[in-house]
Amino acid sequence: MSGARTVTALPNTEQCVVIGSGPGGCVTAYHLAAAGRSVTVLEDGQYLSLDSAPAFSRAEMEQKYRNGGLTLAFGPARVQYVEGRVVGGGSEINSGLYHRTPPAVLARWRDEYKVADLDDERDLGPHFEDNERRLNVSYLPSEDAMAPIARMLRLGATRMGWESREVPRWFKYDAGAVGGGRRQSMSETYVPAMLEAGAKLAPGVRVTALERNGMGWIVHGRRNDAYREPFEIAADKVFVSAGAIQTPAILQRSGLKTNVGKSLRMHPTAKFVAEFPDEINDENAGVPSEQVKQFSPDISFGCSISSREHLAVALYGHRSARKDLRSTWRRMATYYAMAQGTGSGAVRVLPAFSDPLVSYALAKEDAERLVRGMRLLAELLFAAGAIALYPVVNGAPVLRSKDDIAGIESWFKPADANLMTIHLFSSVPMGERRDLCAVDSYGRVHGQPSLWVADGSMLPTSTTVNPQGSIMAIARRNVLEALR
Amino acid sequence: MGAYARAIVRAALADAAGPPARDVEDEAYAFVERQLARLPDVLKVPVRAAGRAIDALSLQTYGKQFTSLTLAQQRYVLAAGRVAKTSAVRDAIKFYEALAIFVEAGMEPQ
Repeated sequence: MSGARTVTALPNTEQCVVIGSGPGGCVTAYHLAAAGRSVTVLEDGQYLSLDSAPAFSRAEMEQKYRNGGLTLAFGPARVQYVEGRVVGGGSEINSGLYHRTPPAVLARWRDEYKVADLDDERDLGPHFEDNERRLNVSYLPSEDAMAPIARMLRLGATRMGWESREVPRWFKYDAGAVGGGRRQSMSETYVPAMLEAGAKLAPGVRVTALERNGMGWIVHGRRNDAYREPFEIAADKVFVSAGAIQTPAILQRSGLKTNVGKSLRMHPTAKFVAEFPDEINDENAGVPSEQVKQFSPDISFGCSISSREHLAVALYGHRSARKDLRSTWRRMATYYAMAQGTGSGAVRVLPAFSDPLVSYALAKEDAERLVRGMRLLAELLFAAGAIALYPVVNGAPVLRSKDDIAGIESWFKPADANLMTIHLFSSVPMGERRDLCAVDSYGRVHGQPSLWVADGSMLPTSTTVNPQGSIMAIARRNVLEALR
Repeated sequence: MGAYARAIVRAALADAAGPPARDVEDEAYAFVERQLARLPDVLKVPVRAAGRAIDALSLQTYGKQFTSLTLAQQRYVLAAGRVAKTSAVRDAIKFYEALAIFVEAGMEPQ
């Protein structure tokens, strides 16, 4: 895609440079431009429409995922993670599930990290509301539109006496058919709005480091084309919004290391493929927006991508089931158990490597939560009528009945559990505690002029829910403060 | 990596009846090559080292490099490697096989 405001010639000087065009960067750039500032947004990935590849497809992985989705946090229990590398960032590749920040999480940020002016959720209310309106955060038009995969989750929860509910998401629903409507993302909402407001967008450029330049900064980078031409932009103000992995890497390369990249957090998930007697899956299933919150914030359950390709990979360790997939996949779906995420990791820049090294230590409590979560999820799925459960765990047996659940501790080892996450945050935490935090209560890097962070890396802890609603609300709050 | 990656992809997608359809093999091999090129710097070295581990297993079992084995022998090495004590061997095989399986599942008629 291209437009009147996408630029190939980069400016030598600029009032405001925003690095990264994910949800945090787009919200920031929009409000800067709407307030009359001259803004250039630098994005590592390309500018592609939401329709450039089918959702969750191989083509989408190749076009829009950083490193084709082959990104891994090292540690005793390795965790695969994914990042968007495209205009719109993670919003272009996720399912758009939306939560406001739970009040207990806001209280923790205020009490433990001394985040100022965050007395309760009312402080963020106007920011949530504005984003929700622009993103069309909405519920399914009717019960009939609920995907069968989600119905099974709700049925199991109901039979167990547990709370299950639909999570709203960024979506323009059509009334009627399952899957009808259009997913929303930054490229559908904030990107056109920020361009309309006057922001300039430069896709295909990678920022490597920042250099202090009086009260401003010189942004150093290179183009991603065959010539790898370097560039420099002298900016009055810089907002780093490159995500929880790339933002600390850029700051570290710029010599800014205090509390940067040392407290990465995530929501680790483990999964079952469930087989039911009747068809529940089809090409339009997507990722249904049902979640079981009975054990929240410790553990949540939900539906994962269940296309035939993803089922085939999830069944890697269950060869006989995989061989029959052609005839059985419509009776199968993948469900996850997600732990709160109290472990901590690190992002480190290594000499001679362009990609940072990411590590993560799963907390003992989270390992216990995942075992408990998988046991409870198995109970739920059998209650929903599953006839077999295939753990996405190396060397694990197939569970054929509730009686098989008892042995879960013997085969569920986090190191073999193929843990993954799409929620990454907290690598550059915000707050007034300088012993813990890299940026202040409004995202400005401690001790540095005119430099802000505006993405998931500034969230001090796990949000315990999908974090994008929190990222966007905090980004809006912070940029409006920066504009005062 | 070309011949080596193609051999693993072919063996991973083969069954007792023989090798996979040529178009499936070609598509899976091309995808694996592209994904190898996209690997983060910090994973390139471990993946290359793990590839050597598959060769070591081939040499230990048949006295030949993986690419010099028959398809049946390659399938045997992969089967042995999937349950190897060394995680590097298991991980290397899983890396190639999972990418190949992903492509194959997507190419079959839905």
